[in-house]
Amino acid sequence: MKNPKDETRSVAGPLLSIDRIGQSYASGNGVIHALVDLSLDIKASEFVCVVGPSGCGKSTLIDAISGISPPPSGQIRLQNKPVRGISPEIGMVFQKYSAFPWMTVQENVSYGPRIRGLPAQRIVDLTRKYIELVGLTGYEHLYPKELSGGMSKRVDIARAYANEPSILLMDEPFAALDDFTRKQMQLELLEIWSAEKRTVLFVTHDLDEATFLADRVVVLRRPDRDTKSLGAILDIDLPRPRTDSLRYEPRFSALRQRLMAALGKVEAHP
Amino acid sequence: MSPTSSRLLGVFGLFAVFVIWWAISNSGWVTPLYLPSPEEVLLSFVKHSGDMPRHVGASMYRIAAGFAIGSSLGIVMGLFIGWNKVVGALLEPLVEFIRPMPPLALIPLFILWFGIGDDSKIIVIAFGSWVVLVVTTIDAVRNVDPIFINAARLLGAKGYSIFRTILFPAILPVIMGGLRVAAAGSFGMSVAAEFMGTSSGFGYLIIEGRRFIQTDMLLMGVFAITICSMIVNWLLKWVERRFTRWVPRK
Repeated sequence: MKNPKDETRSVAGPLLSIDRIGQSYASGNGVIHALVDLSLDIKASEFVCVVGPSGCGKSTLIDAISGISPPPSGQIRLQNKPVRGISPEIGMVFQKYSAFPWMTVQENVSYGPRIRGLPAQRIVDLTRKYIELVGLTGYEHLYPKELSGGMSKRVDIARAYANEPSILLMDEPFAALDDFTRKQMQLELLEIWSAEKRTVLFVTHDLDEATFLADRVVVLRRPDRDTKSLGAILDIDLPRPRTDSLRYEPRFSALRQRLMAALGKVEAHP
Repeated sequence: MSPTSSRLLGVFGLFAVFVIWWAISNSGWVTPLYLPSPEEVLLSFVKHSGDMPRHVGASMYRIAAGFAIGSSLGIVMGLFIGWNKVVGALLEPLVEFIRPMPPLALIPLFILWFGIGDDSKIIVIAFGSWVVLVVTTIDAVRNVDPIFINAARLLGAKGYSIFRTILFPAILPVIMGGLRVAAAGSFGMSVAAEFMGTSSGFGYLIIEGRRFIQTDMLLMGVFAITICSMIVNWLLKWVERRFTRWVPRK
């Protein structure tokens, strides 16, 4: 995966740099530490998955990077600029269906380009391109109420991509889908990702999903005042493009097993 | 049951009530003074057909003016109170205090302040519509799923564009429901206000019917206002369907 172009890009440092961020909430009996002293660098074009036991701060991490709730300590830098609050540079696919119900598929996907006032032709091109990429051509004029769960999710993904962010955050986007649709969506997402090479940070609790999608998997643990959030980082050196048959190969199972072991370790020693 | 047969059944039920009414009033058991027959009420419509436009016009003017003023003020205030925390903190206790005040109880006060003419009637209708819409709008704004607001902001929307593209469409179906409630209420308030003194309108027909013991005229007034209220409700329903096609309906 190394070519001269990547080298020049890496001179400028990581695309996203998370530097010792922490987040905690007051609760009835004391303080809940959601994230403690977490540092993580994500390279341009990388596909990074985040896994961890429930309560390990996966969603807190997403909220922190997206600017929905910026962390009180530490710093997040995107392309060397500090992230301060919500910005269209950072795209988001939520766990819940989030297509605007009052807009058609086309209006949803074109929302970002329209609201940022891009030239009309550019809006048309971007919208058509991403509707086609997620396979919703022909459904442009339907409202979300007329779509299946999988199609609705495709709208969310196309809408995030059409806004051309530097990084896409995905917070368990396929958790609500049935197994078949989920696997289908994973393949489609990888196709879009390899066509675009746009950086993705993907939170999931599904180890198969993480192993299948990621370049690297970040394992978070449930932190404490003096236990840091970061549990382990695993490289997934499976070849790309990845296809469904990969899921049945021994090296896939081996990596999944290693991931399981890493997760077991952070669960056993919180 | 198919939609056609359920509609037929509904028409039959309505028709049956009129038949029973017709049978009782023509049987001689009850004097027409208490219950005039349907045909007498219908005749009364014919008799007053020359006068009717004036009465319908007078009432509909008061209702339309009061409803429009009150609803728009209610929506605008509701948006500010629901959206802006400072405005909300300042004005919400006031709204909560005014909310349980029956508008009809204020008619005498409004007459004292604004006279016996159209003004006091329009103001009581506006007041009643305002209460419904301000409360509905505050709730609607606060019930907008924050995921839509966050999604819009993450796509680059700010300030007024969030309001225009997210908040307003999201609350529109709830507001339309509030408008229909307020419209129905406006008819009631106009009649009550007209009882207090006027020389035109549905309330006038009804109160004059009682004064001269012309029960057919009284009932005619009741039916006239019912028909107008129904038409307004249909119109609002049509507008609602037209502008909120995206809402999942069963």
